[in-house]
Amino acid sequence: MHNAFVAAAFGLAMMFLAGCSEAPPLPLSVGVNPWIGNDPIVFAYERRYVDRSRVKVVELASSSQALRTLDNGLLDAAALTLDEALRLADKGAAIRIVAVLAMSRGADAVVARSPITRPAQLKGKRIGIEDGAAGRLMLARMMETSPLRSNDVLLLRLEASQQEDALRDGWVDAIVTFEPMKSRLQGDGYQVIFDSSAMPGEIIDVLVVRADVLERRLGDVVDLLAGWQRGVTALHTTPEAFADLLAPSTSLTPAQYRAALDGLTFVTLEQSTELLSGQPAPFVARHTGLAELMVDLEMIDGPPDWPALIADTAARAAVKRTESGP
Amino acid sequence: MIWPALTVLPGRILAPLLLAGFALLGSALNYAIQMQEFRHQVASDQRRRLTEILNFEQSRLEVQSGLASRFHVSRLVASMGLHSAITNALLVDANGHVVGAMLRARLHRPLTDAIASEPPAVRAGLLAIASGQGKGIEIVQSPGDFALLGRVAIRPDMTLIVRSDLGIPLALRTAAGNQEIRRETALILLFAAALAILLHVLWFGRSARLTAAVAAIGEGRFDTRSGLTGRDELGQIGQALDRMAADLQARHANLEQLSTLINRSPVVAIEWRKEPGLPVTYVSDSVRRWGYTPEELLSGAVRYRDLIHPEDCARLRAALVSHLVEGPDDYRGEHRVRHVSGQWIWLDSRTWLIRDASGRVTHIRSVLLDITSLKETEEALLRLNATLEARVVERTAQLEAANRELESFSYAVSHDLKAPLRGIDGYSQILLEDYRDRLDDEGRQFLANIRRGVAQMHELIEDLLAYAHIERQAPQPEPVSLQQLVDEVLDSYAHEIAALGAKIDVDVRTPELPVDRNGLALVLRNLVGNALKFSRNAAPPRIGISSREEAGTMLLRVRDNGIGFDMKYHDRIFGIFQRLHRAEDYPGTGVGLALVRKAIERMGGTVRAESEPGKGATFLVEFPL
Amino acid sequence: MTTEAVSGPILLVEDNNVDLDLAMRAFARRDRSSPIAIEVARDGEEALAFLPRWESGHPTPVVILLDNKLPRVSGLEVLQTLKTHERFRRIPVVMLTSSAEDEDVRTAYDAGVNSYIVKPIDFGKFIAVAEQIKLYWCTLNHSQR
Repeated sequence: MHNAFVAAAFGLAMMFLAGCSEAPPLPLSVGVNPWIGNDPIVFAYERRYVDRSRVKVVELASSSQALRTLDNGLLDAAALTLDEALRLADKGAAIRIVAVLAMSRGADAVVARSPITRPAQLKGKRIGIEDGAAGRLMLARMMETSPLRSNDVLLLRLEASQQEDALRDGWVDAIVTFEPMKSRLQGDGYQVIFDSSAMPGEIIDVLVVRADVLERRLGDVVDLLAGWQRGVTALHTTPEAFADLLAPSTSLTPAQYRAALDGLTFVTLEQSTELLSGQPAPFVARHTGLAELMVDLEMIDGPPDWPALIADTAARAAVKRTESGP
Repeated sequence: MIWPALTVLPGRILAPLLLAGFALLGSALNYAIQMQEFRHQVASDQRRRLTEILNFEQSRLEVQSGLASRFHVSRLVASMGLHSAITNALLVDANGHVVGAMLRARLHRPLTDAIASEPPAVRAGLLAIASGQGKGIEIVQSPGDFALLGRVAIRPDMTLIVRSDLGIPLALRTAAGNQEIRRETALILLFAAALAILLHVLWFGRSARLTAAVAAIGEGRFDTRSGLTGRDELGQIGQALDRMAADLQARHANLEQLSTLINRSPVVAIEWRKEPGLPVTYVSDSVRRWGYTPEELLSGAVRYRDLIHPEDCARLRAALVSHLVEGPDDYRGEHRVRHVSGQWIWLDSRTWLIRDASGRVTHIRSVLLDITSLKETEEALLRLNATLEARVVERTAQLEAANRELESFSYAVSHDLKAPLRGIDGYSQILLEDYRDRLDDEGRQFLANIRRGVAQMHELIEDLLAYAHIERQAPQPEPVSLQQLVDEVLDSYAHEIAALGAKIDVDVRTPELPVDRNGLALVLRNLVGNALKFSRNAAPPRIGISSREEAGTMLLRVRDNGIGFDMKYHDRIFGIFQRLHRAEDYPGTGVGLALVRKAIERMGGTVRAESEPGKGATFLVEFPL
Repeated sequence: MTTEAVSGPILLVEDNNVDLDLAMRAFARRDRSSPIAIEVARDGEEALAFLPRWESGHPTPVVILLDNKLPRVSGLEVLQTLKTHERFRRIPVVMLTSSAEDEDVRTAYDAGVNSYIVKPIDFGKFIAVAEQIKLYWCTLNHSQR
């Protein structure tokens, strides 16, 4: 009798403890678009540099989808361009920029079908563009150095996954796209008439995490960043393996793939941390211009609340972790 | 072993504890059962969900594949990763190559390569489901792996296979279940606490008060009241307790008053415990009257048995022993005890034996009343009695002496008075007979007168003697047959009756009468004699003797039809020596009716006479029966 | 009734002169044949003096008439002495006295008297008593010899 009571009490205690622990959470869902800048994350996920029970990388058709899904709450984090992040924040989403992933220097481009070879030739033409600011920014920069004015061109909103086909099929004359579509199309004879190397550091990718997720699941975010860093490291140390794994799905040859990757500068976690920390963070100074442009373009209503937007905690912790070991 | 432990805890702790314990146990059981159910629920839920997903994706993918957008198709498959439970999604073409996957690295590879990095169980499951042939949606639960595997054909020639992990939804469900359990448990504990408070307020607080009140009353504080109201059990107990306490208080007060009364009264109350030595367990304060303090007796400094008079000691002990053995349990007695000054005090004791439940005598109680003065009075009375008796004896002797004197006097009277009469009568008769011729008529007449005088004198002496005799004799009542007595008296007058030709009517209805025979005979003789005498001139003389009973009295009537008398003399005739007629008309000493009255009065009756001159006389005698 | 021989003597114990004389005359009246012999004692002592005479042969009386009230030795004493005498206790004794007190009667009967008669005042009645005594005690009664 006595033992039975003890056992029951023990069982109850266990039950309590089980109840007391937090519900095992779903893995942190990170949405990535087909942008190759996100490939280190894909690599890390494929190679299990991240704990798959804690982090789940979901490849999405486009950044718009990523935005939508993030906004809807089905994604916990997403790799977005800065302008996409600002637009999201401006809409009122509670998000935090936790890391700078990559900077575009040529990976974003305006690709046109022949016979268009120069921006001026786009006058009166149809341009397929994502509904994001990166593309608009690039177009704006392109027009700065050309006689084109915004109402000289007809903009068609197209998702990234649709752009390639639309260009190939001739629905549009040019698309504002990015790798690997750019290299793919280049390989098929299409012309790059403008690219982000003309505007270095303006089109950057950042990792955006929902504010509540960052608070609750900092560890998982750190895991993600650490994994991403390992992916980046692998890219630099074993580029062949990297390319072998990921090139096929881009329909590029490994060589093409690697060349495409050259259009990017991956930012290390330390650099990320540097950029994001401080009051004010250097990041802010760098990208105030973009924010202003977006305000001019009426993409956002006002400048973002930078201090609220930026969070360096995850990057910092991830740096510590990678320093202490893989 | 458990039950004693349970009764140690106070009810107000035990009840909620037990309640909570049992409820939690129930919850735990419920939880365990639920966990089992969850697995099934989750499996069926996920199955349905997967079916919906597959259905949806099938149409989406078929549209896109129709548009021949490989990139889009692959991205669609990749975005299936948004479904939280789906861990693997692979679109395989007719050649077994992966054309769409959640992980880009898998694209454009043969299926087996693409999933090489998966754990063996997962791989096996995926390969198994991929080899299915059906056209519709097929979902199986992977045997070695807690997951669902689904497959759907995508036209024209592709197959979508997915793996939906059940562990995550189960974990979610479990977590939710745990949440529920926690909530339940919290609620249970909350309610148990509330119940505990409620119980405390309703019951245990009150029962604690009740317990405290009972304890207080047990200690003797009878003014304690539980103060519980209400109609529940505790309230009723409390109210009953309060009534009992009030009753006890009243009794206690009563007892105290009685105690005071006892202590103030001259009665001394003592209680001994029945054990060797008979120690005193209670003695009232009034024992101070004897000159001892209660403490002396209680402590044994003064022993009661030492106070008892030596003459009474053995008797007292014997009485106690006898009552202890045979009963009854109450008895009285008297004995003496010594006052502290040395004087003896007489005590009237009432003793009773107190028995316990098993019938053994445990205590002996006595109340002792000082009756010394009573005793003295008693003795004085006895002495007085003795003196009185002596005096009575003396008086009786005196009276008897007087009586005897009277007897001898009357004897002497009769003897000495009668003797000369004999002489006178004798010689006068001799003269008449022997000297007749020497006497003339006058001489003879003188002698006759002399003889008549002698006869009268004789009658008078006899009547006087009879009168005196009546006084001396004590009446001896006996049952007398009236009829018989009347007959005897009439017999004795037979000569006269015959000579007078008298008619006698006898109507005696009383069979028996408890009277003095001689007395009644005397009465009858005199009355009948008188009746004959005074009616001798009637023709014929009629005498009626009758008796009857009336209202508790016997009425005797003697009637004659003689000369009667004037009623103004009706009482005088009963006086001694009272005569209404001259001796030569009607002889008589005048003593007869006096004798009758005296005799009747001694027998407790009354006599009276009624008459009219010339109409006869009636003598009425009444005896109370 | 056949006239039987009246035997004697009668012992008369009487102290009163008058009573004695009248008694003698009463017994002498109506004597027909031989007069009955009457011996007289004037008191108790004289009465008891007869005892030795009887013992020495003097004829015992057929009946003793005894008065109760006697000087010196009372009639009762004489009676008691007579009735306890060895030889002469069977001689009938008739108490002839003037008192009829119950006590005296009882005592006399207790002492063994054979008859108790009260002397009547009326001389005529006294004569009748004497006749009865002569008839009963002297004629009819068988006395012991």
